Amino acid sequence: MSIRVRIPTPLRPHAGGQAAVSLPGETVKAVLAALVAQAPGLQAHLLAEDGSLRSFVNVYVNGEDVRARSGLETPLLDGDELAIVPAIAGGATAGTAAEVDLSREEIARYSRHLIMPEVTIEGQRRLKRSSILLVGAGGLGSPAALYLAAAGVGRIGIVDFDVVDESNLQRQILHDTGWIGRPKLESAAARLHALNPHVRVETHATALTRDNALELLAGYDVVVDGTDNFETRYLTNDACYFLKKPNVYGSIFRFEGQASVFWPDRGPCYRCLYPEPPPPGLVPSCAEGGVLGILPGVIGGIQATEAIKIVLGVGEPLVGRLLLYDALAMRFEELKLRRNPECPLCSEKATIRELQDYPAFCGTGRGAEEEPVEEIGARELKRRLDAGEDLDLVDVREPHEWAICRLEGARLLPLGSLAEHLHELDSARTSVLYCRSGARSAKALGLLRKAGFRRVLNLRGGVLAWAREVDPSMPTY
Amino acid sequence: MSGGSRSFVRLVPDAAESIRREAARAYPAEGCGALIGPAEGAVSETQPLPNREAASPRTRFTVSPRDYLAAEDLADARGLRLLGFWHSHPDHPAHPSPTDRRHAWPGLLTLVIAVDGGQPGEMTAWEVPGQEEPFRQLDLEIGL
Repeated sequence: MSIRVRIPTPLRPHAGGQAAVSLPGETVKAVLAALVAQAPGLQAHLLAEDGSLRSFVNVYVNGEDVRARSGLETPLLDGDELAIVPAIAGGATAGTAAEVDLSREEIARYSRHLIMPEVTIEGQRRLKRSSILLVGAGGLGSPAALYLAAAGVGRIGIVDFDVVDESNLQRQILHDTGWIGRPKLESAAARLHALNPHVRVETHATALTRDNALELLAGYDVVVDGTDNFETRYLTNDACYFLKKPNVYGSIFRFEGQASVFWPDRGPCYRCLYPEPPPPGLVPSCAEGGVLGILPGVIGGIQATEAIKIVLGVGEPLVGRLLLYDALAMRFEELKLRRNPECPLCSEKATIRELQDYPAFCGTGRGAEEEPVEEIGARELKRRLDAGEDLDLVDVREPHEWAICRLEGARLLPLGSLAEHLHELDSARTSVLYCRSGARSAKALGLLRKAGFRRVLNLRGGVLAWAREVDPSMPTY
Repeated sequence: MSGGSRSFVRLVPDAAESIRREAARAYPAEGCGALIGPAEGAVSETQPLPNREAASPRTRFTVSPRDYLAAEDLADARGLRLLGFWHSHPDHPAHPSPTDRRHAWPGLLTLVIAVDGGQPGEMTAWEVPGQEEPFRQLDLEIGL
């Protein structure tokens, strides 16, 4: 039984200058004991007082870290090579970051992490000194924030400017009934602090914009994209690229979700996948299309997992892979993503050199209102209807939405089939198009314009505005 | 180890230039590499290494154990010695941080180079005489 033990350069003076020695022993521990017996000067460099391996020493057996096996108890076979490797690290951060230590309470709290060889106390310290920014405290941000706080991420930033709405509670589990009408950030901070008082929560009550994105994101190690609109998604992607920060992406719609990690220089970015945002109105948002409440629980959980893996430096990050989840079929699928050699952001042919003015996209609907379309406000529409004007009210939503609420006298022509029903519209009459928030009807208006209709108006803010301004008894969704 | 007797480090101009180049290339992340030479205090070449610090490469660096072993193999195979490591401090002075001290190994040089806005700047050399001792600055000479 003979094991070749490789001595690293800085320890060779303690081992008679030798680069390697052969020693007997059936476990790592036995071989190290034999080594120390032969060269007592090594003891203090290799082992802590309790006999465990010092934290700045790695032991590799045949190229594999023994911490990932059975540590000092890892069995050895004749001819194995054991290498003692100094952990070489450092960096400009002074004080706080790397000097963190865990209190007794924290050690008790994180004990299920500490006993995992992939985490250990060193990994838990990494988590504590790490910082993660959540863009959005909604469906995806909620589970992600809860798990990241529970896991002991030292600093969690949240960017959001929304207030808690009743319709959020079906999936945004950071917030509860008592917080309706109050800022999501306050609710998030209170909830995370209650869950784990060791975590510092930083709230940023603003929309992410071209002007603040770089500064905001620069203060964090990892970014978790939980946005609900394309404007912020492209902004997050581009800012992460310029700052070289890993961007943990997730998105959800109805029963389907997807996730990936866009890590600059290591894999593709979001623009490799979709170089430009879709035209306004083409892609419905959750507000318009609906979402299964538990879906963000799965996707947000995957995002939190990836963020934690990145901080720990373990496993295979979801880089260059797009994970697709179908809750109805209960199936996961994986697509390979390659860097796009024509990518406008991250390829050699890049044309984007700074953050863009992101045109207003559909997303939450607030974008579409900025399109140059002929609009009519809810009160104005009510006034003209009351005055007996002959207006053709066209509802471009889906039948199940129509079943919840509708304007009196309207007819249903869903956007998807509108093109086939153009002959049912009378170009001599004024048509007023509406949907839930005004986004899809703006798209419908564009379609009608192209087909030559001129007397078309879009109800600004959709049935939501109607319910708010004209008929509060109308149920909304 | 006779670390205590060493008072200066000499870096051949090519090695110094290589460090400056690699540090600028790594900016805004920290760059790092191995220092190799024929004898203590005499760096004749450098081996650039990837910064394996996953989450915060702008403020920290890590040399993976495999990269360490490869650098040591390279030195051993050529009858040279692995003398230590260099790393850069992007937009930060060329002075070792508490993080650097916590990770420093007696017997391995710590060379720090500042990179300001992408331009390589001051370079300093340090050693720890013993495990519990603070950094001691060494005179750094660039020449043959």
